[in-house]
Amino acid sequence: MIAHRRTLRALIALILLPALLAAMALWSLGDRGADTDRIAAAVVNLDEPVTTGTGDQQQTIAAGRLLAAGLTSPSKDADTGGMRLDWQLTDAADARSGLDDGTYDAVVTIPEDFSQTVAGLTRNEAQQASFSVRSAEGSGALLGRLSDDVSRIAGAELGHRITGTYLEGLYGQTAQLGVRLGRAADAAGRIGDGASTLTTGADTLAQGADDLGTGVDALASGADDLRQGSEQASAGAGELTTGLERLSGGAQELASAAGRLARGATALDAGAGRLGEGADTLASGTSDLGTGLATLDHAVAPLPTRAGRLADGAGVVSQGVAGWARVLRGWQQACAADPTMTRYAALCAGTTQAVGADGATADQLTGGAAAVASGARQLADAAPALVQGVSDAADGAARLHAGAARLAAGADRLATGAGRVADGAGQIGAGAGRLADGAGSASTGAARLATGTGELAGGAGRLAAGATRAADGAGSLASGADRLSSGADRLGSGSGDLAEGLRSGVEALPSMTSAEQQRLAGAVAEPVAVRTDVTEAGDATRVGIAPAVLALVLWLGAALVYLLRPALPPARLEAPGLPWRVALAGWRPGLLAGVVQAVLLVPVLVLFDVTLAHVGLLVPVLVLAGAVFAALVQGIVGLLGAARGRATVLVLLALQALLLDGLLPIDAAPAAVRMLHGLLPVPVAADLVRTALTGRGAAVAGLLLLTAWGVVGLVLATRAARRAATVTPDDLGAHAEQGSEPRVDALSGC
Amino acid sequence: MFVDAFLVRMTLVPAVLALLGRRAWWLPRWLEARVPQLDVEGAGLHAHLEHEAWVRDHGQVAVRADGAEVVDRHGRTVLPPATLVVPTGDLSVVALEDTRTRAALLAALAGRLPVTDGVLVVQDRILPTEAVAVRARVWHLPRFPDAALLERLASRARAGADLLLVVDGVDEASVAVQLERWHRLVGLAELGVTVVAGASTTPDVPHHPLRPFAAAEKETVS
Repeated sequence: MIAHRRTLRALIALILLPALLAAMALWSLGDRGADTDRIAAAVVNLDEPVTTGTGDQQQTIAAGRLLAAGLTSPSKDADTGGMRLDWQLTDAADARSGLDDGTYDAVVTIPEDFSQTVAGLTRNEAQQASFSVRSAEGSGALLGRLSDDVSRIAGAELGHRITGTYLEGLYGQTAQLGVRLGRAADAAGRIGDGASTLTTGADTLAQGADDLGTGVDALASGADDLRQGSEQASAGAGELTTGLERLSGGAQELASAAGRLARGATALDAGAGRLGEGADTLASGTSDLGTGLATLDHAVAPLPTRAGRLADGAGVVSQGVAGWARVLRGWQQACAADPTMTRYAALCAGTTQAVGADGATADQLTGGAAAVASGARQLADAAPALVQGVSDAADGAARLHAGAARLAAGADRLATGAGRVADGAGQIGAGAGRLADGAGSASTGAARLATGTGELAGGAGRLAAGATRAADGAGSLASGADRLSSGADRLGSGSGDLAEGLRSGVEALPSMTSAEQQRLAGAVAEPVAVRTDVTEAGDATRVGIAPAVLALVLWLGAALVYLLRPALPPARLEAPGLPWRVALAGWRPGLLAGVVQAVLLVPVLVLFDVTLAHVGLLVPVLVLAGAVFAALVQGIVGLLGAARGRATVLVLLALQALLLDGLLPIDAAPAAVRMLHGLLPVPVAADLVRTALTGRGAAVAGLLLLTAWGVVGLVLATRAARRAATVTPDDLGAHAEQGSEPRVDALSGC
Repeated sequence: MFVDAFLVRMTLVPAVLALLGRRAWWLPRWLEARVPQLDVEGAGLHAHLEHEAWVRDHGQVAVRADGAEVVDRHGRTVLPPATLVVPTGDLSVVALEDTRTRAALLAALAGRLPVTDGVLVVQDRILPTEAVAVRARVWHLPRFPDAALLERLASRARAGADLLLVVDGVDEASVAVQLERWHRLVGLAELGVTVVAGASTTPDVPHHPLRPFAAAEKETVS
């Protein structure tokens, strides 16, 4: 319990100690001033004022008086923090004697041409004005302070005066510039108007050129059409000539054919007359034939009947002849066979003569009779057909007669027609002759027409080409007019902008009365002094030393943590584990304490009215510094062992304190010191804190460097952990002598 | 070219190396301690193969030492050649009066003291080349720990962790406390923790006795 309470007390002290130390340091170091106003110095003003400028802008410059007044005036003490000498204005003789008898420690003499030199600045003839400074003891510190004061006052007073004069002149010139710019703006406005008119005209021109282009295009296409048409017409006229020539030939042939036709028709007429007569003769012939045939018909009509009767009679005769023949035969046979009959010898001889020796005469007689009979019969059979044929012939003769009559009439009409044909053909022949003549003249004309239209086609082609070129020209004209228009437009808008800009320039130019000009010039000449007032307010000394104090107390806090705690926890060394985990476990208390210590420093700064430009940067910087310092101290103590490690940490504390940039600027230190200052963790942290307090400078490089130091610390601690985990034979010796006390180094101090 | 390749590289350099022998590879001691252990010729692999062969013959063990010894930089023996086998999940006890040798042996088993010769394999890792891995896994308690740590170990063992605990000074206490400590260690061993305990005397609890120097003793006897 008691051990716990002691640990708790130690812990609270540990955490509060850096903040208390920082408060102590800021309080004790912050309020030291120097009573420099006990040093007396004399000012001797030999300067003669000069007048500069022209007309109503004349300025009188009394630079020496201003400087002297500035040095001696107590009202200006505020902006220099009370660190001023005791300045007295006097003449040259008094100053010399005062310097001799110790009344003054130093004398500043302002030369006669001081104003002249200073005035040169306002006329762009810059020259450096100089003083003479004399000091009784020739001490460097006093001369430095003198020079400081004089140049500061000269800067403030003369700078104000000279700048003011310069600015007044500038504002006067500015007013004149305004009037001239106004005139320029008006002129630009007029240019704009003119350009606008030009734009309109150019637009119209462009429109017209466009129309012209369109018209010329139409003309070109029309001329082209004309050329094609006249070419076709020329070809057609050629063909017409050929056709007319052929027509003339054809008409001549027609005339001769019509002549031949007329002669044929006349011959036809005569033939037709003869045909008519023949036909008449035929008609009367046939009429007679008809009559004869009718008589024949009439005469033939009873022929069949009679031929029948003739046939019948011839039949009977034939039968009688046959019977008679047979009686004669019987007689002949009886005469031949019965000799009694010889008495009748003449009878028998007459019979044999009649019948023939053997009967042939009798047979011929019988056969003839039979032939007569059959011929009669055939005659009878043929008689009707004969009658019919005669009748038909009579009819045909009648029809022949009628046809012959009609033929005669037709031949008459044919004769008449042929006569008329002959007449017409004569007329055709005459007409065709005239047609041939006309066609010849037409052919000649058509040939001339073809030539003419050919020439027309050529002319139309040339016209088309010309019109195309004209169209191109019109297009170029149109685009040129467009460009002219847009250019004029731009000219118009540009000159409008120019006029507007010039007018706004005129408006923006201040136009002031000379009183206003003086006031403004004074105000413009002042700002440097005002800014000095702001930044140098508060506690300059505390701002100067606070970063160093904070960085140092954080290092001290880290050192305290590892005075009370082992760098590497012994329990973690006994337990299995990797070295870096052991190192992190050892870092943890230092990290926690460092963070708390860092955060507690912020109220201390607030307590002592130190301005905090970047609280958002200050807190991370302090916390990072606490953590990094803890890692470094842990690494050093862990690696070098408790005693050597802590000694090293203290030596490093002293070394880094020497390198800090506090009351004396580090920039004046030797190069090696500056290099260490930029490298070692405490100065780097101090610079970071300064950046956070004042807002000046960049923090990134410092933050990276500080983080790198933290990594170095952790790497050292890891190496230490790795080594501490092993036992050396020497440890075993100590071990055996001290009973079972292992690794004494990391545990002492608890 | 020819001179460089045939005379310098193939003749001169091998000759110089042959003359120097092992001295060609000499390093200052401070540098030797700091350069990493390069295993160019696969000595580590050989050791592993040898151990695997041994495991095939004898089975898995937690610790196996065969003539493992530690000699300090002055040539003095810190740990004489030790030969032992620690079975897994059992309480093994080193009973030695000499606290220094006992501490050296236990530190060597825990990977905390680098062995200079002989075979020492802890949980299949060859020492001293794999000492970091052994240290990352083995508890080494030179003094007997408090009850809280033992309880934490017990709960981790119950959770299934494979633990190897090397603890010394078990009997540096009153007899009653000694007995309680031994029972606690037996309890841990029953949970599967491999415990190697160092003491001056052999305890009265069931355990696996370790006799690291038995062979040497026999030699001296014979």
